[in-house]
Amino acid sequence: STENPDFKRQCMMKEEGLKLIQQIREGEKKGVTPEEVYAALQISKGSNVKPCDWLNSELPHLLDEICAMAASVQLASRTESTTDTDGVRLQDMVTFPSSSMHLSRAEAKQAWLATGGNIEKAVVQVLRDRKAKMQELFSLGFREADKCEEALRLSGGEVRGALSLLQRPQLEAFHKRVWSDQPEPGINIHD
Amino acid sequence: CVRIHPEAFPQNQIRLKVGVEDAMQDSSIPVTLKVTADMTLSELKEKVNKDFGFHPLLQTWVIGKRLARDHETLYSHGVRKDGDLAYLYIRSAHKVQLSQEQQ
Repeated sequence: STENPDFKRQCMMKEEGLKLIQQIREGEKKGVTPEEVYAALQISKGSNVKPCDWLNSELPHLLDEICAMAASVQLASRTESTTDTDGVRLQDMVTFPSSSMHLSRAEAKQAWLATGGNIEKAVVQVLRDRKAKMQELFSLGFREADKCEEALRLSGGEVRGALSLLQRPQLEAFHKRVWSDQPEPGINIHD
Repeated sequence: CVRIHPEAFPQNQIRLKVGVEDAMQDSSIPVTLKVTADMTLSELKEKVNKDFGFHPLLQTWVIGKRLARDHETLYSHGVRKDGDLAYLYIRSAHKVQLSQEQQ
């Protein structure tokens, strides 16, 4: 036939695009972002589960899995020597065998969305992100890896939150003094 | 990371058919954009922002069965010729937490 060879390709673009748009629209009505819908579809492909339902029932398990995979990769790489960091002391900290490499679901989710729902890439990404955050905390003077890891876990991977957790103890003395009975030094206005 | 030399892309203008959508609209509003295959999605978002005033954060692009990401080119999503099709889904500014001033 004399049919335009691009016709079929463009029909596919239309059909497949519309299908995804429809899913995105349904998602947004339920408060789910397009990225979440898309990533969910990559994993639940072939099943009849709707992306929103999949996100509710399956995503938490998947995120835990990503955290566990990342932790085991991290553990394996710590037994090898790493030479890829440029800071001198930095190396010590990054490779310091921290017993508590706990990633949060929030971090796993961020990485999983950023990689469009690819689990293997998400594992690599979540480790890379965590390392960058550890280096940032290190550069701010927080050099105990275990404490930094824990603060990041508690803050859902947010450096800002981790920073306030790490610094809270430094201000503990001020809290105590606020409530102490010591009289304030009097001010003599006639001096 | 492999970087394709710009000349590897066809430089000519493509008339991309774009179906504009959002959560409320239930059929596409068609527009045509003149693009090149080597444009990245962030360049495309900037163009749409300039031409139509939708902040890049509000734009979600669907090409074929894929959600297109900022660093990717139109070419990598199979855009080649006049009449090729993409969808622009406009998110609710409320959900993106964007204020009118930012727009």
